[in-house]
Amino acid sequence: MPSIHRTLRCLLRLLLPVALALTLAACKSTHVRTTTDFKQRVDLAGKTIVMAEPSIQLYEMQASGMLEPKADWTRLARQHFVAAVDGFLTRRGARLAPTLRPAAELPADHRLRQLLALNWAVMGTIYTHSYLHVPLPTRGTARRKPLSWTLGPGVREIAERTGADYMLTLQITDSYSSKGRVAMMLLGVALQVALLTGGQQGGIATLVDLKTGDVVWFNVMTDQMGDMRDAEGAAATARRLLKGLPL
Amino acid sequence: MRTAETRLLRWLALAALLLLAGCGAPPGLVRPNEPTRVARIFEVTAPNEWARYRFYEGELWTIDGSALNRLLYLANIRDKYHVFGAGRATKRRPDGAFYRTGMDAPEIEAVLRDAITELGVANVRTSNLRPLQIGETTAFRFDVAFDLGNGLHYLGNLTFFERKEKLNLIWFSAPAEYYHPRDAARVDQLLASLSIRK
Repeated sequence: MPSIHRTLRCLLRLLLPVALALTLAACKSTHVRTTTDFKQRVDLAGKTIVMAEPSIQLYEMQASGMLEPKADWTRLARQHFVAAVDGFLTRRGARLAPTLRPAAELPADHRLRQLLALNWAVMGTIYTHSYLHVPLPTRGTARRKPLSWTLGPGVREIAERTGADYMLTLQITDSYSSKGRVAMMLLGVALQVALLTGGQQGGIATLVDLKTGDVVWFNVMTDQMGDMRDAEGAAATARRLLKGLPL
Repeated sequence: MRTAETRLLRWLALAALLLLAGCGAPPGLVRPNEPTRVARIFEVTAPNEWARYRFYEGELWTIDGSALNRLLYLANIRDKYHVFGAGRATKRRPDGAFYRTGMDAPEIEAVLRDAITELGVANVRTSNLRPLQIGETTAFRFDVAFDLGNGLHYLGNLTFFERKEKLNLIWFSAPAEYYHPRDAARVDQLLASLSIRK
């Protein structure tokens, strides 16, 4: 009998650090995909990159779990994030062009609007078949597939308008637990009825070669500790989201 | 615009989940230049590779992902049933995009246009309804255009025919930017090879 207890204690000592490591690993993750010849073909040093309609939205998670959009946090995060990306690229010899935002009066059927809308559709498709792993046999059966999606040569119009070599598209949502939510989470644990989740950060980004239209880099980032409401946090998010870029 | 993008991404994720949930079998691969039977009714020869997802009385084919090019085959749509499988016409729900035997081609076109609108897309336009002879069967084809919530413009066509008092259809759609111009000729070639089981 005592030997069984000793074995169980040993097993517990072994499993606890593993469980802790797995839990911590789940807090932050990135998922980078590139084209097969990415490292040989793409070098961003000395190149100009334009951000196309970056979508950044911050929320506060209410006690019920509902997400309330926070305009003031979002405004701050947009300023901090663009500055952080600019700093990140400049330090590595690349240049960030002014953000591409089509004028509100530009009609929906304008080529530029169609290209940007197609860009979102391609990004969603890569997310579905690369990150969510929905099988797509025409792209091979390997789990870690290289990227092979394109927006077509029409993107040269974006290059001509902006003077950029590459287009960076990103979508970030970030939420923070309110005091009420924190109380609910603690109550759930104390009463052992539920393990409620708090706010978290998630982002998707793609890099498109504006000469060919090929999507050359893709990343999905999740982080349960990220905070974009200050410059330091926004810089950390930018570093994680731009992971794997050849800079 | 930003809300529309979020909605698009959610729509794509939902489509992917539905695709997974709806698939009875893992997706297959359509080999180029080999005759392929679809839903026991259609037989086509594709000039290029397609991924195929099978489900009850139909298949979904795509090359790059269903948001970028999509061929939807639906077979054996019965009298008083919704053309996209959303239930049956009842006394409480008599109106909707339900197929009824005896409808003429323009009426079926109108029902299909309503069904596409019900999918949540905008500015659905159909045009150029024309008859086709496929073996001994008279089929019809019309062009379809619609926009997603974020303004992405889609083009394509829809071919339909009646067999044993049931409706069968093939719907091709792709974004007007890059994908439709690239794939339309190959889909035309595929549709030209269509034969229908007697």
